[in-house]
Amino acid sequence: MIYNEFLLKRYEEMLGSRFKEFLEASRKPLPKYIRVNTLRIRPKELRRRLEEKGFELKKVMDYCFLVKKAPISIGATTEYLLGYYFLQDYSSLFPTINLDPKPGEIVWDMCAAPGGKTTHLAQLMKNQGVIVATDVRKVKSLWYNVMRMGVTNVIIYQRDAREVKYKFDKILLDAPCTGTGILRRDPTRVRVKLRDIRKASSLQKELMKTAYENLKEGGTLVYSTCSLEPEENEEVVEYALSLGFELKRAIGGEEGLLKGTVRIWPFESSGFFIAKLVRPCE
Amino acid sequence: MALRELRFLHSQIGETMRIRGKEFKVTKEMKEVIRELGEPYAAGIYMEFPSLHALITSQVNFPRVFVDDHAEQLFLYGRDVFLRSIIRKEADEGIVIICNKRGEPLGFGKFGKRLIKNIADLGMYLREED
Repeated sequence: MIYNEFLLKRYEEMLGSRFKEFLEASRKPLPKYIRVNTLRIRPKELRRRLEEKGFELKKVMDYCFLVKKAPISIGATTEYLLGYYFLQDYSSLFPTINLDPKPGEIVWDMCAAPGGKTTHLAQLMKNQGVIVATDVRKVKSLWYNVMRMGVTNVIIYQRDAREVKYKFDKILLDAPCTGTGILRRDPTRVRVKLRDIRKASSLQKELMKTAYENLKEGGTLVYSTCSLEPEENEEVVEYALSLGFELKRAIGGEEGLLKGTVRIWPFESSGFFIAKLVRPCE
Repeated sequence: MALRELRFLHSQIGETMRIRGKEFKVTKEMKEVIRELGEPYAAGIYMEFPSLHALITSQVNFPRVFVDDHAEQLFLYGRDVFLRSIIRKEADEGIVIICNKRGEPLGFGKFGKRLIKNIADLGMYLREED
């Protein structure tokens, strides 16, 4: 079992009768998904090309496919190297979709590496406007992914997000977290304890405050984590509300413990939490 | 999105900027943000030869050499191109863009006597990841 006893107890409490289903799902490998880079190719065309190579794909969204069968590694095809798609869990598309960035806007991706959401933002913005992507580590991976996907509207800073001073139209805060929603993909995180959750929550609140200070009035912030822990999710959103944010209804899964937020349990994809917040005009 | 539209979008990126000693192409809007936030790690389109970013965003202009499927795979593993793998060519010497039979750019090469030497290929994104 990939979850320790401490975590299992929590999930049993939150899931109730669905806990058994959760346990069954956790024993299976996590399905793989690809996001088509519509800046470079049409989904239909990519599907045709990969199916010719023996891949079996199932459409789950206009530009997202579930990989049902892969004769070779899905991350080693010519199409991958040409930047025609990104390996990205279905659930992790929803933070960007909720932010709904428009061409011409100035958007901040606060914790951007390795660039899945940054390149998704660029795709929705049709490579227009500006994305500021910051991270303290893995910026080389971020930059390589930006280049491979043919993205041209990104500025990358290897910088702690808390040091940034600017007024953005929209902000994506996909915060560093304990990652308990992706244990099926990254089992190195199995030893998560309450003190780890508390530590992550404290950093997330600091980042939330930074986001508030750097967001234009009327601007939108999407907060997300791949953690299942309420201290890293609903508790951080409650803190955001105390700063002055207003909560808007997010889409992408079942309602979280706080009305309007979204919780995606790791049944068919990674676990995720999403909240959409707006800084009101004074 | 049609290739024509993509080219139009990329043509909007016209301002050259040096970042950490390297050449990049950025928009006016990006330049304004950089003025406030300071020198970044990277921005816009990386232009230093042999930039694959510049290649796939149609910022470079070299003659093309089209190769067969087998040579495509080998080239993406960092290997050179044997002349017998060439399907069609627009030049016999100097620096060229290596394309697959569909015309998609895979990287840069330089003509030698018996082969085209691999200068840079898209496979580096896998080989050099963090």
